[in-house]
Parts: sequence; C-alpha cells; structure tokens
Amino acid sequence: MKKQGTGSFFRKNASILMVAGGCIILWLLMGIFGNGIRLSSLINNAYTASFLAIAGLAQMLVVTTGRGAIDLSIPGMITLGGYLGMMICNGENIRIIPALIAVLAAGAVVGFLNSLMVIYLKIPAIIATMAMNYIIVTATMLIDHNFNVFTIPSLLKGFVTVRVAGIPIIIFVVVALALGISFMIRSTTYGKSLLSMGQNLEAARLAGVQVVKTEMITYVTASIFAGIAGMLISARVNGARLGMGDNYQMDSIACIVVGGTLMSGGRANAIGTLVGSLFLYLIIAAMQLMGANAGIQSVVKGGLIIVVLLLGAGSGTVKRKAKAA
Amino acid sequence: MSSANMPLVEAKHFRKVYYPTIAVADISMTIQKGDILALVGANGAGKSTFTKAISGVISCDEGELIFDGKKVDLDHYSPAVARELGIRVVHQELSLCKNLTVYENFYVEQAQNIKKVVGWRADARKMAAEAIDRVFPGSGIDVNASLSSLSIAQQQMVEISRATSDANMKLMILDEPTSSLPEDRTRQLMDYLIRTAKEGMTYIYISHRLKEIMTIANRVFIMQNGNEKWQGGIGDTSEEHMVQLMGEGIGDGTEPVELSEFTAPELNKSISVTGEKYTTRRLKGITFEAYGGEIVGLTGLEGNGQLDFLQDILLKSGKKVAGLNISGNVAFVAGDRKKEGIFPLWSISDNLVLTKAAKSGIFKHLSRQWLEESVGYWYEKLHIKSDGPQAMITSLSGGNQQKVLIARALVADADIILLDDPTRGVDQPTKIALYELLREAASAGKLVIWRTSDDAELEFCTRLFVFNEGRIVGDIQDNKVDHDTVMKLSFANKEEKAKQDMGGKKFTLPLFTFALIAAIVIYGICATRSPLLLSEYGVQLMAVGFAALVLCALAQTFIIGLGHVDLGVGNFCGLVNVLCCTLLFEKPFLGVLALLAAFLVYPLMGFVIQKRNVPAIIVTLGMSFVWIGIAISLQSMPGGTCPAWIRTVFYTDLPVLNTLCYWVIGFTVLAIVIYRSKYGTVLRGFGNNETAMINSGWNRAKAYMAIYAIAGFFAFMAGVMCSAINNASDASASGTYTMLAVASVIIGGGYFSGGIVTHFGALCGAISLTMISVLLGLLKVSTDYTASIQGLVLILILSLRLLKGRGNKS
Repeated sequence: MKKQGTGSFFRKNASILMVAGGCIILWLLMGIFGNGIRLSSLINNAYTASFLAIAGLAQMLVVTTGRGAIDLSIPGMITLGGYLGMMICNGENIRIIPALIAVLAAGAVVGFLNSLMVIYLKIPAIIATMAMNYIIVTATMLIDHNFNVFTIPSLLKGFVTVRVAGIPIIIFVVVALALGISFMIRSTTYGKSLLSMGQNLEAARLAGVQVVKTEMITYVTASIFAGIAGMLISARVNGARLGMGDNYQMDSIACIVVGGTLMSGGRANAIGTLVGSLFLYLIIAAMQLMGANAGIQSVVKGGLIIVVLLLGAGSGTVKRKAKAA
Repeated sequence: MSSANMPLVEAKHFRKVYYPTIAVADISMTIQKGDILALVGANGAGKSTFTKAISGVISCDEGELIFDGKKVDLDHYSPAVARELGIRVVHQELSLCKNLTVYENFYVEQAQNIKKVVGWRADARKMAAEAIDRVFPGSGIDVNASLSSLSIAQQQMVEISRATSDANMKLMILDEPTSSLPEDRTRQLMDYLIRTAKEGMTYIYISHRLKEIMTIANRVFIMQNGNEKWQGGIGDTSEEHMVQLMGEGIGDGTEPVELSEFTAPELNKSISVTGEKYTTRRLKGITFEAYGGEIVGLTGLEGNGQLDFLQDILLKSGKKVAGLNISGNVAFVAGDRKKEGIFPLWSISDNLVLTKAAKSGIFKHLSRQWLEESVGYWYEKLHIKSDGPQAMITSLSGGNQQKVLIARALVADADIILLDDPTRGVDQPTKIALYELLREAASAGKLVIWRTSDDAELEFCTRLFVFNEGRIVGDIQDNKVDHDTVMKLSFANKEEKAKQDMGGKKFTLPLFTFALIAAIVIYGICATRSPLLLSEYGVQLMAVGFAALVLCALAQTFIIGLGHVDLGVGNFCGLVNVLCCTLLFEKPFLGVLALLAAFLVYPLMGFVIQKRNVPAIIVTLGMSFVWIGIAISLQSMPGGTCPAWIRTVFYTDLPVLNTLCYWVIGFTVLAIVIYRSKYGTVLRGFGNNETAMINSGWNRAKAYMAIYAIAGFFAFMAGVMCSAINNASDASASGTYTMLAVASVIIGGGYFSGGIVTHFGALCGAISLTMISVLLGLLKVSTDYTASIQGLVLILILSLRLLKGRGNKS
C-alpha cells in the first residue's frame, strides 16, 4: 500500500518533478559556465520568482474554474496594488496597515466585479477581465497624475529584503502560501467545489455545489493576491510605475502551465506553480549569463514553454480535452 | 457478387483489452446478407467495443474480419476504410455537429455524394430531404434548420436517415437508435429496417429494448463480459429467456438479481414538495403534494414540463418561491452522465462524496478519514467491479458510473432525490440494482421523484404525475399502472401541437446583430461630430486605424471557431511587419524566405497541437514569446521602410472607396467564402464535434493544419498591411491586437466553444473597438479615460448578448 503510494506520487507529479529537475540542471549549468555552483544564485532566482509565484497562484485559481477562464486583470491589479500601497504608506510604517486594508478592499471590489460579469452577465472570463484591466489602467493613470511618493516604509522594505539563514523571508512566506492553497484545494469543500466546477460546471451545479459562491471567492482571492503582489513588488523596486504589472500577464499563465495546472480547468497544482515560476526566472538568468539579448531570451522562454508542454503531455494520465462543448 | 450463402460478415476471434479491463475477450460472429442481428448484453458486455472494432473506430488487439468475401486488413483499418467497404454506424452518442444545418450535416458525412463545388448546397438539401422522408415520412424536419434548434428525437432521426443515404452501404450498425425516439417514430424506423432488410440490407441492432428486438430481429447474439453467451434465431428465444441469459453470471458469479418484495412505506410528512398553482414559463399552474416514502414517477411525452419540474425543485429548494414549498434537502441525479454527471478527473470516491461535501460549510476541512467514512458504506453496497474507491471514475462502465451518481445522492443523505431518466442506456441487471436503491431510499422515508422515458419503469413507482403541456393532467395513486390511461392523458390535444413544434420556425437574430449595431452607432456618432468621416478620405483615415485589427480578428475567428484561442496572433502580425520593413526591403530574396518560413510555422502549430493533444492556448502563448523575440532581435527600435510595391498594392487610387477599404472588404468576403465552402463546412464541423468528423472519415491533422494555415494567412496579411499603412515597422506595436481580436470575435457574436463564430461579426467588432477611441478623441475626453471606456463598452455590448441569448437558448 505504502509502496504503491510513492509510485503514484511520482506518476502524478511526473511533469513537476521534471520541471524541478530542469531547474536544477539550469542552475548547475549556470554554475559550471558562470561563477561556480553556488546556492546563492539559486536563492536569488527563487527570490525574484516569489513575486511571480504570488501572481501565478492567483492565475491558477481562476484558470481552475474552467471553461477557458483566465484572469487578464492581474497585471492591472498588480500595478494598482503597487500604487495604492505606496501612496497610502507614504513611507511611514504606521500606515502599512491602512495601506494593506486599501489594497485588500480594492482587490475584493475588482474580483467581485469580475465574478459578477462572469456569473451574471455571462461574459467569458478572458474578455470580462480584459475589460476590467482597461478600467483599472485608467484608475492607476489618475492616481499617477498626483503621485510623488518615492520612499518605502522600512518594515515593508524589510519584509521583502530581510534574510533568515541566507534565505529571504519572502520565500518562506510564499512557500507557506502555496502549501496553504494546496491544502485548501485538496481538502476543503471550497477546493472540491472549485475542482468540480472546473471539470464540469453543469454537473457541479446539479450535484449541489455552490458554484456562484465558489467562483466569487476565487476571483476575489485572485485579485487580492495580485494586489498584494503589486504592493510587495513596489517595495522591492522602490516605487510604482505605470505598466509595472504588464510582464506578469503572460508570465503568470506560463508559470502555471509549466507547473502542471490544467488550462481547461479542474486540476490545479500550487507547488507546481512555485516550481514553474522559478523555472522561468532561471531560464532568463541563464540567458543573461550567456549574454543573450532580450529578443533571444523571449524566444528561448517561449520555446521552452512549448517543450515543457509537449514533454508533459505524454506523462499525463488523463487525455486533455480542449473543452467540453 | 457474393454467392447467396456466403456470409456478409465473418468476424473471427476479436479481442480488445483496455488494461485492466477486457472489453472484448473472444468474439466470433457470422452475419448473412439480409439479417437483422440483434446484439444484446448488459452494459460493459462489450457490444459497443465490438462494433467500434469492426467499424474501424478503434483498433482491436486480435481478430480477423472478412467482409463481403474479402479479408480486411485490420492493421490499416479506420472509419474511412470501413465506409469504403460499406459499413456504417449510428453511434449511441449523437455524432452530429450542432453548429451546422441539417443538410450541412448530411454533406460532411456523405461527401462522396456531392461532387459540385458551386451549388453543392442545393444537392445536399435534396439528399437530406429525401433521406429523412424515406425513413421517417412526415417528420416535418426542415433541412435548412440549424441542428441545435431540433429536439433530441429529431436529431436522432437526422442521424439515422443520414446513414441510410449512402448507396454503397451494405451493413449498418445501429447502437441504441431508439433510446430517444417517440413511439410512432420508432415504429417507422422498424418498418424501414424490416423493409430494407428484405431488399438485402444487413443490420446489427444494439438495444436494451427487448420488445423491439423481438419485433424486428431475425437473429440474436447475446454478449456477456466480452464473450459470446448465446446466439440463435429469434424463434428460439423470448424476452424472458434473454433477460435470464443476460442476468446469469453477472457480478462475479452472484445469483441473478431479483427485485425484492416492496410495499409502499408510511408517508413521512416531514419531507415534502407541494405546489399550489405553481406557474413558470413552462409550467402552468400545477398543484400537487408529494411526501417522503413515495416514489413519484413523472411521465408524459418528452418535453412537456417534466424536466422543468425537476429542475425547479432542485434550484428553488431553500428559497422562498410563490406556489412551491420544499421541505427537506434535495439531490439530483443526472441522466446524461457525461454532460451533467461525472467528474472525469476524479476517483470514484471523490465523485461519490461531492454532494455531501458541498452541503458542508464552504471552508470545512474534509479529512481523509471523513472521506472514507462517508463513502465506505455505499461503495460496498453498490457492488461495483473496480480496483476500489480510489480508482478513476472513467475506468467504470456507463452503468456503473450511473450507480455512482445515484449513490452520490444517497451518500449526501438527501431527503428528496430527483432522478432525470437515470437508466437510459443501462443494462437490465444494473437497472434492477438501481430500482432496489430507490426502494431502499423510499423505505427510509425519503421522497424519490423520478422522470423516466421508459414506460416499463412506471411499475416501480408508487405514484405517477402525468405531464401534458406544463400541466399535471393525471395524478395516479394506484399501485397498478394503467398504461392506457397514461397514454390517453399524455396524448390529449397532441396531434395539432406536434405539427406546430416541428414546422414552426422561429425567427432568430443573426449572431452579428449587436456588433453591427454597435459599429454603425459608434461610427454614426463620430460622423455627427466630424462629418469628414463620411467622405472617402475620412473612411480611409478610419480604415488605416482598423484594417490590421480586422485581419487579425478574421484570423482569430478561424481559431476560435475550432474552440482554440491564438494568443500569438498580434505578435505574429508584428513579426511579419518587421520582416517586411527590414529583411524584405534590404534583401528581398532572404526576406521572402523568412516570411515564408514564418508563415509555415502556423500549419506546423496546428499539426503539433493535434498530434500531441496539447492546449492550443499554451502553444500559441509560447509562440507569442518566440514571435516578439525574433522581431526584437531583428529590430530593437521602431524603424525600417516598407517596400514600395507593397504600398502600391494597398494605396492605388480606385473609384468610390480607397484601396485599403476594398482590401478589408475583400479579405472579409474571402474569409466568409472559405467558411461556407465544402471543406470550410467540414472545418466548422471540427469546431463542434471532432469525434463525429473523424468517424465520418475526415483527417484531423489535415483539418487542424488547414485552419491554422488559413488563420496564419490572415494574420500574415495583417502584418503586410501594417507595413503598408505605417511605412515602417514596430515589433511590439501589434501586441495588443491579440486580445482585441479575441474581443472582436466575441463581440461579433462568437463563442469560445462549439464552433459558433461569424467573420462579419468579427469585422464589426473590430471596427467598433477601434472607433471607440476615435469617438472619445472627437468628444475631447481625456485619453486617461479611453481605456476604461473601451472596457465599459465591451462589457455593455456583451451584456446585451444576454437579452438575445434568453430568446435563443433552450
């Protein structure tokens, strides 16, 4: 029984283990051709990847609701989170709490509106969230006109820079977050509801799953995560600027795909999302080490996403069906 | 010519294993010309697998097939080859494309009969009308109607008649053809089969309805656990005989299941569903009372409110609704397992526990122990053959999946169990097991409400509601069912209505309506602010703005029509733009090669996607990084020059409108013509029902490559047009076209799945989206607001679809 358990663990997680292996190989290669194999380079990449991982977890939740859902308002929400955080904090530690509340509130509103559009106006998620992103962009532009904050509260700065035993605490926080989400998905009613509606919405509804509540929680959580990611990114780069979230648009999708989440919904892998985001950053780091320009980096990144997908497709146990009509 | 006593079909030692299940162990079968061979057996006996093997849908592990005197090469066997030979199947799952019309459905499956390239539609219409009339005279099915507007029974009729229009056909396999046909149509079908069998047509007829088999078949072949159980002439068997044979040895050698004695229990008044003149759009003032301990059967002709009744009880439970009172919690058991029931990525255990889990608080922790305790009792009780509750649900046969679905309601300990025809296509022993479960539930004081299309099942109800046009016209309390009375009540005032149902064609707005209105309104408002827009110069100015987006949207329409999304279309357009203005300008030969290579990647993507079954959205996402990466490497800053001849092509003076507009119109027309052509119709079919198209003999790889190549062509032309318009290139300028193109298609009335898209709508959508920013500019709205107003208009237009959807759907 036990033995079978480990066997099925490897089978179920084959693609993630493969990506994790890929990460290690990339790291070793970088060490061999760079400045020697050092744990610090892996940690530094994991540090950068942590921020993407938060956005990736947000994207993962929305994608898992199924029917091709993707949250395209994540970049806008990241930017908004950054601006709100910076503006309200204004460099003072005491104002971190109100800033956090503001970001949470903004995320809740955005996510709630997204879910309303998807559930009641029956607009496909990819379009509804794209429209929402446009609206958020305007909001951040308006903030930007009167924006002149360039200092980060020391506590917030500390949160994203302080290291324990050489490892930035943000990495621990993100890993804990992923484990928490992983637990939520596997062993709570919410998780079962989310996975069931992602596989077959109609069947879930008929089985008595509270699909509306589940979908709302999902969108709200995703937007809140994106907002918090924005606030943390701002703290890290010492400021907020327009379009700061745009790179996370495609990257958040890429990292969950690499991490084994099913794009058609119904299967999510939070730990895989962490590994996936690390993988993406290691590729970029490796490219930079080799002196490749931004264009080549992009080509390699795109190529690897496809390669990982093709390799993973063989090991999956369930046939991927594009979408149930 | 085969001699009179040479068999038409000789199948020897067929074997097919889906590890660990042996679907077909060892089957040999001989069928003479003119036979109607009934193939019967419990679900999971291997009937479907066997027929799929001899019709080339699946490859078998072992076996030999001699058809019409010739040995068939089973190593190179496919549905297409089987059709060549003259073998056709009417599958249990309908293999029609809902986004096509009735006659287009005929064409895609009977392409060999339609030779014309121009005017093929007329021929296809004629073929469809004749075929339907031949089998189901007086059906009143309009061959021009979209398939989605037909009832399930009508679709089944289309499916059957379609198969009969192949003149080359020698053997027809019907898999549960009458499961959704009304009685009169079933009789027509049986007449047709008997008549044509006399003329020499041969049939394999799979059915659980033994009465039908006794009427039409001349031979019977009974399968069990993948083996032959019995075969012989119809005279040597009887319904009882067949039931007995099928029941023996099922379930690991246990005794044949007999239904135990059952007396209706005392009514449990604490559980009830009562209606007091309850009225909705479909239900007309129904008054009734039903209590725990009852098994209420809902009967009547299909579509007279039974299903609405069930769904209302499900959806309105726990809410205050005038006229409907529900006390007790409700669980629903779907009849359409694949569409409404099972969760394919999950184990049996997860499937069983879902409703119970859903009833707990949304953040309740579901421990492993809780799961095992919840599931254990019922899993044992179901007697499912499997590797335990952790086995995947998809490893079970259809009948066993159905058991799991019923048990899901029992695991949840629901007070009121609603069943929507759960035994459709389920074998006799499983049915009996299901009846037992229902009786046990009723004995435990639960209320069972059961819609059934099999009148034999009414015997197992303690009470019947007969529905007719949304009313309960009969409330029969007797234990003994009087079928005559039920029939009379069901059919009252029906003759006229039936005709109306089929003949009356509702007018529905075309898909692109809202996009067209939006485009005209927005352009119109712009024109009132700036009359220049109505001049040729003004139109050209606008066309410059939307031309490339329109082409990207046309490309995206083909991809979305296949149920995919292309996340790279904008960046591809950007790359072509860069290639045109750099390489092509400087080194024309190399430029042409590079452009050609870029274009060829599109069909290659289609090939990879179909070959490895990977989601298109990811492949195109990856490619979008590749496109932009190459473009940036070639040209990191905007610049370059467009070759003069390209500019000439797009900017020559022409009368009335400028050249650019002609090109935009021309490309739109081209896209529409492609989609309406013969092969275009096939491609649309792939967007809706891929399996059906493959079974009809179309090549999936070719279709995917064709669609991606066509889409690639339009995206390519978008890039070329960008070059002509800007006379320069910018690698990242076209990136936004990707999502705007998706939005255009959806605004244009398209849907992400089901192959429902329109190119004209996409054109209007793209124009609307572009014109919004022009309008805001004219209204002197700060550019800060442009994005958000675009977003709001997008939401508004798509919300309007709801209004249309309400009139159109269901």
